[in-house]
Amino acid sequence: MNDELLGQADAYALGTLTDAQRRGVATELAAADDETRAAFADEVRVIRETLAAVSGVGAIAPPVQLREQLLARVNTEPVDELEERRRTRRLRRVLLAAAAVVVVAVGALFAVRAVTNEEAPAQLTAEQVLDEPDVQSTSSSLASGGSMVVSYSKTADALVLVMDDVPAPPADANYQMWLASETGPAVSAGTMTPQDVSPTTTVVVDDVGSANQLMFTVEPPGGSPAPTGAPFVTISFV
Amino acid sequence: MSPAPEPGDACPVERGQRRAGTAQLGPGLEPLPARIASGDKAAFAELYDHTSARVHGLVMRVVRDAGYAEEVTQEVYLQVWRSAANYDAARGSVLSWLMTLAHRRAVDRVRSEQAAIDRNSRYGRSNVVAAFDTVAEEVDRRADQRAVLDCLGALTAVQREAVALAYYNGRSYPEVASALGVALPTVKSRIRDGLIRLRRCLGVS
Repeated sequence: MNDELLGQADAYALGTLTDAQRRGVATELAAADDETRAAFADEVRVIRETLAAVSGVGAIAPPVQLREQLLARVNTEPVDELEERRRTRRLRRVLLAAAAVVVVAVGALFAVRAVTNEEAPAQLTAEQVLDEPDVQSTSSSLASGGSMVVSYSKTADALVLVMDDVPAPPADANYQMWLASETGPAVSAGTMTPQDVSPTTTVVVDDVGSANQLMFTVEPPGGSPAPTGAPFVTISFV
Repeated sequence: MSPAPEPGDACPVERGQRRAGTAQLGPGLEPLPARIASGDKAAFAELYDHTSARVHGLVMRVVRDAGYAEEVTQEVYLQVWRSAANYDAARGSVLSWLMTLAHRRAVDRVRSEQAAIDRNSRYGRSNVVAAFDTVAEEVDRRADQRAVLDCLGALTAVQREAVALAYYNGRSYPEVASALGVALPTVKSRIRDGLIRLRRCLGVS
């Protein structure tokens, strides 16, 4: 049992950790034993139930018109969603070209999401992210060849990255992805070995939080705590 | 169902009253996410009617601005509408899921507005402590909330203060320590002990 990790459960459950710290905990949990993971999840659950019980005391009714506005939005959304789906279906087919799609689980960050994050489903798939009505896509061509498309959904708090004909990193190096925003340092979103990069590579990155940029740098195998050089591609996806 | 009292467990709430904080909502909310996920607008309205004051109240305490609070509350329920299929009962109650979403969005909103606001001066210590101590000002104190109020009263003032700064202000533990002028280990134990005392008193399992 990893007691030190377990000791972070209350900070995690109170929502006081930064995006970077949350990812750090998620990575440690992925490497921990089942007992620690289960105890951590249980601790988080109990604390959140406690906080939910307290919420009644601080209840303040919202403005009356909010209810009508929400019901109006919800009434129109399904229809809009259908139209939106028809429009984005073609885009989705391009992105998920059946032939050579490889979903790369970059690092252990994704696997552990199911244990601790109540807001996200287990193993968020590219399809699920692209299914969101608010998904926006941004593409970028690389000087080194190839292109990347980032499709981001604020509702899913996740992005899908499709790399097309991007050359693999040198044999003695890794690519490292970083999430960045104006308000904080770059946070690692995982590494890719030369074997991880195929002609078409699809990656799902969740728990995006307030980040609005995805960057790639070349790092030593295993990655680095912070970017060691200038990124070779930066995509602003918000 | 309630845990046996430990020595020094100064919880004034009688056993029968525990869990009263959420008793009125009880199992009523559990079937709603699945119905909402299938497009049931009546279920969505029902969830809103039962929970919007709690959500809005929490958001208000975190963002401290009526306009932002209304916007964030709307965002929370839109997220519920779009992602109700993600609710997993094994991970907690519907209310817990909802309040976690609300808290996260509220804190994200404050952090993104942070650049324009000096948090230390505006979200002053007195405001935040009042949030957890506000109980004296609540007009509508029904019996079911009495148990929660009493349990909050079972915490020491410094425990309440530390938990409030972390939860309602979204401050990190080092920031709480700095704001209170105490050492980090002191903050950690105050928060931990405060949460343990609260959950024991409320009978959360």
